[in-house]
Amino acid sequence: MTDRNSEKKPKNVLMVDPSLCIGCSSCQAACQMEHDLPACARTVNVLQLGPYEQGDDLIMSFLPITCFHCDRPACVAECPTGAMQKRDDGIVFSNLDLCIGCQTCAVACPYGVPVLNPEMGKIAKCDGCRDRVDLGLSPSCALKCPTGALSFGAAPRVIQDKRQRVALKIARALE
Amino acid sequence: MIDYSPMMRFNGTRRDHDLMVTTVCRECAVGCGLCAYVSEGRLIDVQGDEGNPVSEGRLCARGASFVRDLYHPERLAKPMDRTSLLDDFRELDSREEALDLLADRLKKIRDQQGPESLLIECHPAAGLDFYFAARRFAALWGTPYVYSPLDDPKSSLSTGVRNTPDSPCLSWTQSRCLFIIGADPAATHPVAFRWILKAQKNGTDIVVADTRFTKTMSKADFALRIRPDTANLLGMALMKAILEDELPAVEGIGDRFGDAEAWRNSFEGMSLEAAAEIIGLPSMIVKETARLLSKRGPVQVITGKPLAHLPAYGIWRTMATAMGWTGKPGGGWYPLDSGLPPLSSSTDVQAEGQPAIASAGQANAIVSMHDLLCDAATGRTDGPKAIICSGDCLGDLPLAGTPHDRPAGLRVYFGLRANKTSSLSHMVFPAQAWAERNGLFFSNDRAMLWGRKIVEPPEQASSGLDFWMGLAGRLGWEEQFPWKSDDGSANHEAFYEWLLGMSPLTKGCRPEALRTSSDCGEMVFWPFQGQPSTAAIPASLVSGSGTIFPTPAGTAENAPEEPDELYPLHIETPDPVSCAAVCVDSRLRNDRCLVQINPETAGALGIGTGDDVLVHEPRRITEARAWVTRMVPRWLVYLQGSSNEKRALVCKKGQSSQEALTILRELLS
Repeated sequence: MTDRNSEKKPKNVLMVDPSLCIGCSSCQAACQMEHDLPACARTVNVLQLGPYEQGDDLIMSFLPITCFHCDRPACVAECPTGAMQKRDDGIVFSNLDLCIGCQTCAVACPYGVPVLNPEMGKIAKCDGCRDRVDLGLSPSCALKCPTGALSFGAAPRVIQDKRQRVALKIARALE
Repeated sequence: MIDYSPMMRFNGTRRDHDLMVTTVCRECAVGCGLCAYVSEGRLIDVQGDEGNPVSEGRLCARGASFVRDLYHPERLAKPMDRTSLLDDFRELDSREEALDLLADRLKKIRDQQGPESLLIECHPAAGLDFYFAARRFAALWGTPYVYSPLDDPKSSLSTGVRNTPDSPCLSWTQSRCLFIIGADPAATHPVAFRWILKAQKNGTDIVVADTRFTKTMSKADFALRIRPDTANLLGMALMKAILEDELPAVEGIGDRFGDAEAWRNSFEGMSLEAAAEIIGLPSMIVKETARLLSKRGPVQVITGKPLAHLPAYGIWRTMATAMGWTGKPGGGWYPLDSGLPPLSSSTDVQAEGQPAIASAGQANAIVSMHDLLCDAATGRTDGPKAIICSGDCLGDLPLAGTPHDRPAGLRVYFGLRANKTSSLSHMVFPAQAWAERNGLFFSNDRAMLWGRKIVEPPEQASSGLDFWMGLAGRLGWEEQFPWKSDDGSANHEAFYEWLLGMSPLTKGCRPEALRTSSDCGEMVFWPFQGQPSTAAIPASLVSGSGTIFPTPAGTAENAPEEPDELYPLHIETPDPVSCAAVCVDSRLRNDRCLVQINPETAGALGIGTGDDVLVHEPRRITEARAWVTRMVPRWLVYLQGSSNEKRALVCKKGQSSQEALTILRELLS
């Protein structure tokens, strides 16, 4: 752990609003460009759910899946070299200097999030854009998302935002 | 009301850089603002420009990842040449040498075959300078065959204002209903689509009509799934239903058209039931939709580019005007990818009696150009013998993958990266990317923006204007292409200044003024009225709509379709303008060409997702990977590529086409 990691940092949250996701894969492209990853290393997976039949209609939705930065991450516990680490602010990341590309983390992760970057032979995984966050910048995926389906910030602010959005929806429905 | 303020966003880069260039993304026609970070001459990061009123700092997958194309290992570095398609390419030392060679070959072909032996294909990625300079070159050369998917075959210089958007996409939030037909902006223009979602949040109804269940349709409040090529007929049927029911919105119609009575009378002979049957909807649904649109005005009608190539395209302008939506905030017509003003780069050099450039005013320009390309590429007729193309038009043709050598033919590719077309060409010219040249940009919203160069181009790569100027100079047309800088390269600013002066709609607007206005966060729209505007809805955008000629009923009559004996399925592909945007998903995933097949159809043929399938069309067979999904109805397949065909037969690899045909006939009967 570096000194930077041992500092007390506020915990941030990445909120996903699937009702706004249009499956455009901008988050995936933004992440790949931010971390110089090849197209095959998908650190964000945008799932397309459907179309399913619902009565006479069809329904379809999209859900971007990336690292959940678990409280007790299995990937960190299982990593044989100590490359996979968790910071005080909750970000789970892989230290590429220590990573040997064994993919133990990929097996351990209940969501199958870590993937191998075949160009480097090391693990590629959402690192919460820790370098950007340390500079006070928003993560690349949340910043570029065209529809605002992803939003990032301190946990109380994100929760407040979610409550306000729901309240607005109800207020408009009653208008 | 709840006081809601969106969460703060913190933009910027974490990378060390020595230059930040604010410019506009030219990947599609939305016109998102870009902040590009450069270090030691290399583009190292791209972020959205928070100050851009349309994109507000957002970027789509294409806008975020165009950097890949700049530094791609397969990027063309030097001009190349070969005399036969069976030979290997020979790298040429300089662009000048390559242009000398090309000019000699073209001259020979013209002497032997005449000027109409040249066909030019202009891909949007090659830039506006390539397109307009090509049209000028073609007029001087004497060929009418210039093709671009940006062309609007139903538009002409005099009526161009009619087929362009009334107001910017920002105004969609003021609409009470957005009616989206034959377009999938969620896939093709994601950043503009956020304004649709914003409008929906405000209570705007979203009505979507399309053949497939698209990403856009997944967000719709009302979805209409229609038969292929019937979108304009749907507009006609809706107009008929509105007139028949005497819905209140058409009361003032006499004031909106010159000859409203005759136009109204033209609908009397039209059968709503017959039209609804062709469209594939119950007539009750058509009537309900008509009532909804009439009640929820002002409606913003958003149409896709492919509709421009179907009969009765003018029905959408007619509908927006007849219903009184045009000119109201949030109302009117917004044809996607149609923000280009009616500029001409060839009228001053067009010789008398010479055939005009083919695209203007031709009803089926796209089809005829594709046929010409087929003929030219395969050497079947006396058509064009020389092809200069900037997209992958040859890769989509039936001959793709079979390197026939046609001694009399000449195929030239001008582009960024090697592709199927370059492998089927005799000469290859490396092109500059849009990020490597200054240029004028017309957004969907009719905004005129100045796109700044971000990085210097590779040494041998040329811009479209450089290419055509170099070629014209070798044919003695230097005077007609006078836009040279001191260093001999093309002066894009001077070229665009001349071009803007060629139309009364853009005259007086100078690139210098556009540069300054973008720096101040102001937008300049055409028709140009002298001042930039910060207003969301410039009044100038609706001018010209009062003098329209309404499209009468009867111009969109489609005969009920006959079942095809050999190709029982319909096939759809993305339209050429938005093709790259739709395919970005598969590009990001490194997937091969995907074909969407309905589960019922796939089940009958024994096809599962991921299986290799063959898509048989009348003139080609395409290998693709199956994606079994209800996004397509059982009578349709959707191929993420390019095709000019309407019918297809799909079978699993290894399965005989006759067996598949028998199964499909039984399934669809």
